[in-house]
Amino acid sequence: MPLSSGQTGFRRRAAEVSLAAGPALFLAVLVVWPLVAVLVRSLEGVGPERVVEVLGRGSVRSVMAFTVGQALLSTVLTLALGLPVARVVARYRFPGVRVLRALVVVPFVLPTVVVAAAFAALFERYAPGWRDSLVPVLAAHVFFNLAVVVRVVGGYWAGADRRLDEAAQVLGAGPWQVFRSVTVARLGPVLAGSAVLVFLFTFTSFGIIRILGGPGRATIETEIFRYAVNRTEFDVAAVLAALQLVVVLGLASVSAAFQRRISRAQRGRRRPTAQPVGEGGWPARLWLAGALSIVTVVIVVPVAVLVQGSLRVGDRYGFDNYRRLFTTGDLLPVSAARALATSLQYALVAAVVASVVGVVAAVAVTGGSPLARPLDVLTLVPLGVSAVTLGFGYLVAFTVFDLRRSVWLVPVSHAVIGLPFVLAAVVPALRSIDPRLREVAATLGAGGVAVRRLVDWPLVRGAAVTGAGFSAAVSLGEFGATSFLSRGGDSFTAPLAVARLVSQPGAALRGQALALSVVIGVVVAFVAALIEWRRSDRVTLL
Amino acid sequence: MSRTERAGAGSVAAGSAGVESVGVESVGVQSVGTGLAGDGAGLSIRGVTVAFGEVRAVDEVSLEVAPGETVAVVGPSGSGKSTLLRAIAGLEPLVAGEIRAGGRSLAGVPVPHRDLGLMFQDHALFPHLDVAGNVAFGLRMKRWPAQRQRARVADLLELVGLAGLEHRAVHELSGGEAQRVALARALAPEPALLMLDEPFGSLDRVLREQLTAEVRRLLQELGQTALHVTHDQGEAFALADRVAVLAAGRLVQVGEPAELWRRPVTRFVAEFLGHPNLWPATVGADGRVTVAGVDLGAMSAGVGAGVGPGSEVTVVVPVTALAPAAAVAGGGTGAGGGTGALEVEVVAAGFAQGRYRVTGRWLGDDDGAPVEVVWEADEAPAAGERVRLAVRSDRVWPLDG
Repeated sequence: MPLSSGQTGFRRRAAEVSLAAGPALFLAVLVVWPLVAVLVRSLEGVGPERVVEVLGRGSVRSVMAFTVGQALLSTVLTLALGLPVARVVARYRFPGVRVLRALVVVPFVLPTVVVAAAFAALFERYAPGWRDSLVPVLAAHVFFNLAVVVRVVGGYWAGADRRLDEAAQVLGAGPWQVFRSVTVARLGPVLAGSAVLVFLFTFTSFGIIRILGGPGRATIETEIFRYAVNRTEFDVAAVLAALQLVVVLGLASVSAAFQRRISRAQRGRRRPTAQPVGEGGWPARLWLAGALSIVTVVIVVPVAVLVQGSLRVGDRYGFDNYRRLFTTGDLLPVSAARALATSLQYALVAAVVASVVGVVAAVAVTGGSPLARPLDVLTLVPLGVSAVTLGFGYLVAFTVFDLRRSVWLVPVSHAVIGLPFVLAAVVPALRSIDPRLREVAATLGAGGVAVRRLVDWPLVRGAAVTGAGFSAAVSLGEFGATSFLSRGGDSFTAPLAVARLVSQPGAALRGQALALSVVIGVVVAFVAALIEWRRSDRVTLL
Repeated sequence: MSRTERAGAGSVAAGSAGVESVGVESVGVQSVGTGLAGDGAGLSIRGVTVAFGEVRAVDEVSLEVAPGETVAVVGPSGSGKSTLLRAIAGLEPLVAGEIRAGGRSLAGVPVPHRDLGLMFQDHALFPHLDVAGNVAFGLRMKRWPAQRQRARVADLLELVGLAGLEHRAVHELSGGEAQRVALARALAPEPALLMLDEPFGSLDRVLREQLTAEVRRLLQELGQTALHVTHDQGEAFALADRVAVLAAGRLVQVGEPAELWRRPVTRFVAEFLGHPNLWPATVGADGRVTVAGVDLGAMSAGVGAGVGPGSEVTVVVPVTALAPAAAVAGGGTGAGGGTGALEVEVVAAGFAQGRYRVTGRWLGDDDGAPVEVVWEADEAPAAGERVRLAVRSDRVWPLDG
């Protein structure tokens, strides 16, 4: 019997598997191996009793309690403040809506050290009484993660079919009933998904805690660093990292499941139906006013204080802090400007590597390969696994060939951390391509490669550039892994410089830290704003 | 037998067996010199089966499409018509059967080398290419030189009435324009077979009818062999030389539109084509048919072919076989015998496309089959009124079994 597709089916399957093999190998070497090395290290020699002993220590327990507690608080606060903004961005059209959207998203890509510097300056100057409380940490977390809620929830909200609400109203549901039975029911998985993400990010918060946490406020993340680097108790660090890893992998798989549900829910959704604020009457104006106040207090004010602080020299204002970035002091191994140049180079390398690996992985993940699902989960791991754990893993794993001295290690670790952003942009773009386009192309004579080149690639190119931009931004601000992997000198990056400057007493150093933060922030914000400006209303995870 | 007079507009007289039953090979009578002509060209499907797990979406379908002929496959959704089309395109694997197009077997031929044109509902135009880029896609795949591509694109756009729109972005096109571009794109590489999958489904009725007529004319002019899949029998009748009815993956009947409509072989086909009057009847001697005790006269089908004297059958009475006779005033008794006139009580009357459509029920038979008739008069009878209907018994057709 003539079976036309049996043979070609097998060949296609083989091609799909080999396509998945590349990114899978990349992630195996650069993510799985270091993490496994950490796990092995935590059990090796010391034995399970030691693990139990470490976890049973009062100090470790209180660290765990604090880590979970601050993450929960941050998540609740972020959701509470993010939802009104999400609603306004999704539902209303008004002059400046794009500016508002960009304002909300930019913080997410701002380097943690920049944000930490901003909030340190803010509280020291205007609320010194709160400087040593938990408030600066929470505020910084909200500042960061507002974007997650607004993008994920708002994006879904914008595409949600408002006729469902209307249908419910016609069926006699009051506003509260509509909200409960339609809005919440549909929004449920999206809300939960974004909450899990925010929790994940704040659970693994490092730079913010290091700089703003103050004495007695340590998370698992900062403790890993402290034990590994400051106290060189590698085994304790390894136990903590292993614990961190288990929690994070669990949360990441929950998040992946939510993401699949969310992207399924988005299939066949309608065009966004935003309504001009003018038509919404006073409730719309109230919502808008609320959203604007939230964004102003949470985002605009800290940034303004950061800029103001960077310009203040003693009692007057000037550019002295910026000029000093070009000088080499005792505190930094190189000038701040030189560190920034290094960061830019790394960002370029990271963006190229992440987007190439990411696009191949995205194609493999969306294909029918048996490796698709495992690869999908694998690609999300770097998003969840803390950069600190990853950096620590590199130190533990790459002792062979002395790889950890390689100058490539820092940019490659940045590429790994940026990879999920490329996938978050490209995978939905690939999934949203109407399969009939490929079928039509095939009937018109296009083979597999031609379909990829002439149909798929042009339709995901924009998303790939977006992902590359995000990974460049992430690289520019990366702090956790770099803290472990930087050898100083040639691999001393701008965020390391900020962290070192900001943690020292002295107005001059503080001013320099703020100035460098502003420069990094401007570069990153520029990249992010470009991305935000040119991308459509397509909803992606981030 | 009243054979359909099809316009001899250069098209093909295929399936000349009138009502064809399933599996009968229709002989592709060759005519127009279109360049596609050739021995064994066109499309030949034999025993094609496509299965999704246990479900046979297409079940041993055999169908011949002569060169230059347009055949429409109609069926309700889920009948397997789109699957059949995808199987021909090579997008679904066959479990059994053989497909030949353009004179060669398609077994083992990958999709890109099948030399087919495919046109989907909602056009499926490449959003990143302009109109010219879409139309030229197949030519590009065949590595035509750029200049010939341009000329061909211009010709095709002219043909579909979109001359000069080469550089229009796809999202700026109206629904009808987009569908024309999709047609031009499918036709550009001169495919051996053009396949249309619900091509006009997303358009409004007026546009749909207009475009159907245009495509019909175009296919005839080009002598293009085409297979058209739709759930809309009206569209199929308007576009195709022959129509094939598919039910649950099986081909039930193939025939020219008029034949199919006049002589459906099963209740399913009759209902799918929209015949409202399917009445239980008794066939008497000489092929005279009696419905509810009323002798309607002789059917043209006569006696035979499984319909012997005295047999109980279901007859199809096309709405065109019924016309108002004189209205009956007051409460008349049952109808007289042998007049070919029925007396029914009006249940409702509707107005559509310039005519009344009256539904009624038999007198003295409360649970009898409904009666529907096109009422060619200035005013429709009111509900409850009794009317007499004249029946043209030569248009009445008995169903098999």
